[in-house]
Amino acid sequence: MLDLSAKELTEHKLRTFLTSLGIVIAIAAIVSLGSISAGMDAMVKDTLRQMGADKIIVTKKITAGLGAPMIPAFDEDIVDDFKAMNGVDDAVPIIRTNYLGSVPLIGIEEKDRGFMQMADVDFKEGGWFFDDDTDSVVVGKDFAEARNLNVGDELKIENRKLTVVGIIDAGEMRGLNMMIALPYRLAQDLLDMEGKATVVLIKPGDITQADAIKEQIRDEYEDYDAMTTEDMLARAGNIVGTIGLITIGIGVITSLVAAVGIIITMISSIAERKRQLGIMKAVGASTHVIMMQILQESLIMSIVSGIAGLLIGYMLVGVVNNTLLAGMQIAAVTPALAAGAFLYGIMLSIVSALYPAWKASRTDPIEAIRS
Amino acid sequence: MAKRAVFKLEKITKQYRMGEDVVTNALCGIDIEIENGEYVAIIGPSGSGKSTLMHIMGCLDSPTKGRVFIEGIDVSKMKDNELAVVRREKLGFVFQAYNLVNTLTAVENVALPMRFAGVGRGEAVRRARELLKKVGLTDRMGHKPNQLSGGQQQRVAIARSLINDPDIILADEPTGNLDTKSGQEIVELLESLNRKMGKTIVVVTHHLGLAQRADRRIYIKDGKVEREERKASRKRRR
Repeated sequence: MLDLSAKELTEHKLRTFLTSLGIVIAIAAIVSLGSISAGMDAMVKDTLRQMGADKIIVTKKITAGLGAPMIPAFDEDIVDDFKAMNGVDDAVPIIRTNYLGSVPLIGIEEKDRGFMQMADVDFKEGGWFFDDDTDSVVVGKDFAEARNLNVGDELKIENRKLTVVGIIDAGEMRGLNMMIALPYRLAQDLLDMEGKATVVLIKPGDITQADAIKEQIRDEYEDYDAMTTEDMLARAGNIVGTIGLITIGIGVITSLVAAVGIIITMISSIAERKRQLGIMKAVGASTHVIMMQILQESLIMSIVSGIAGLLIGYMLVGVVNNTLLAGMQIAAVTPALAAGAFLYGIMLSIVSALYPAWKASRTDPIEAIRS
Repeated sequence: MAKRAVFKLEKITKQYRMGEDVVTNALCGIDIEIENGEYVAIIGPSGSGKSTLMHIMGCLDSPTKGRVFIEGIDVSKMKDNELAVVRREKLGFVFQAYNLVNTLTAVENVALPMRFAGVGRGEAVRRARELLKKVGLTDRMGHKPNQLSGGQQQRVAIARSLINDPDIILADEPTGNLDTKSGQEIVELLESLNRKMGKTIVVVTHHLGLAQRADRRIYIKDGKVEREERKASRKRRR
């Protein structure tokens, strides 16, 4: 009877389109938002893991007000004070900011690369710059791919033409694959931060002392914020969790709208088809046959709109990656997410069609044939 | 063919409740017996209860009181789904307004009751084509009802009534919406189903020309059987 259901749908294209629209939107929203939040989660966690579990990250507190930079800079000499603290093994200043809003830009000295897991990283092409290079830059392979960059190509940052000397392939460490790294001094120069840093990474002599050092910095340096990698992961987890909740919220709302849309259009369609359904019952269709007919229509619609929703979701993810995320494929539709959203759409559609299908199955054949 | 009662109606009463305490009696104790192979016309003015009687005989409605036997089975207390099976397997319907599904082609309309019985599309369509050929619509199989004349639509409806090979065809004013010529063709088609295929035909009508072709005429008035007439001149075949 699937052919009869399909026929009914194609005979009333506008009605079918309107009924399906809700499911298309719901699936597109779930896929795109879900992939963004999953991508963000992975990116943030990768970036933090890159610093190692045993680090204390010190930044200057953000001062409120217009023109305040997102990541405030401070005098790099403060590193010496931290180095002198009890239990501190080493402390290094780095420049870490964002390029184009979302690409991590890191200025770091050769001797400090171990702090960012960069010391033994593999290169897809080329290699590291030297500390005193004035126009060299190393980029991660994801960024290079997004920008179609090769070694020897030019990359313009803050109006300075730099030459790509190496492209990192850090395998699973996605944070490194999507960053831009510069010699520390060059980064200061480019960003007008002579003598300044934005982050100090502290390595405690013993990991058990990390919390104590953190607390001491918080007490003694009011303008600074100190966090262990663990704290940052927890905080990032919270933010990502919030994004996840918003995703679920939007998913639920669009689903409800879709479900109400399906119920309303199907009930009105059944009212329109009263005569047809009555005739079918008169010539021997059981309530079960009628219910199955309506549910099959809903199933066909949900499969088609599920595919459309996934395609639109993929396109939205592409747009997000190319605009908000500078061309890097951070937000990604995983097979599990796509399959989950698709099955959810089918389930939503069938559940919404249950009442209309039941109502259709109760059509009185006498009323229909009298009219 | 041995004679047996395909329809047996015992003291059928049908009441409709209109509001709190107004009860209308559409049928008041009807007893009718129809044998297999009979061609019966039920005649009466509008409001006589003949349509209600037809709906009860067609298992579309249940009597308030009394019992209906179709081929010996009491259908008066059956549930909806059981009645659907009886309608599908034992009865064929022809309505005044043809009652075809507008979105389906002639062949799909004819195949419908067979599909409801769980037969696959291929087999049902094959049989539907055969029947459409029999009713003279070989070149109209892929047409939808709105592309067919009234007479052609009624032929499609007759083909549909035959798809599950029921013994009984119930026709409710089958010529009511047709011009004289098409009406005549439908009358002849119904008659040939009775004469050639041995189907039991029950026609509800107020059209005397149609009624006169029947072996037996049952006149209904005010919900009661007023009288019966048997056609004496025709030889009963069987």
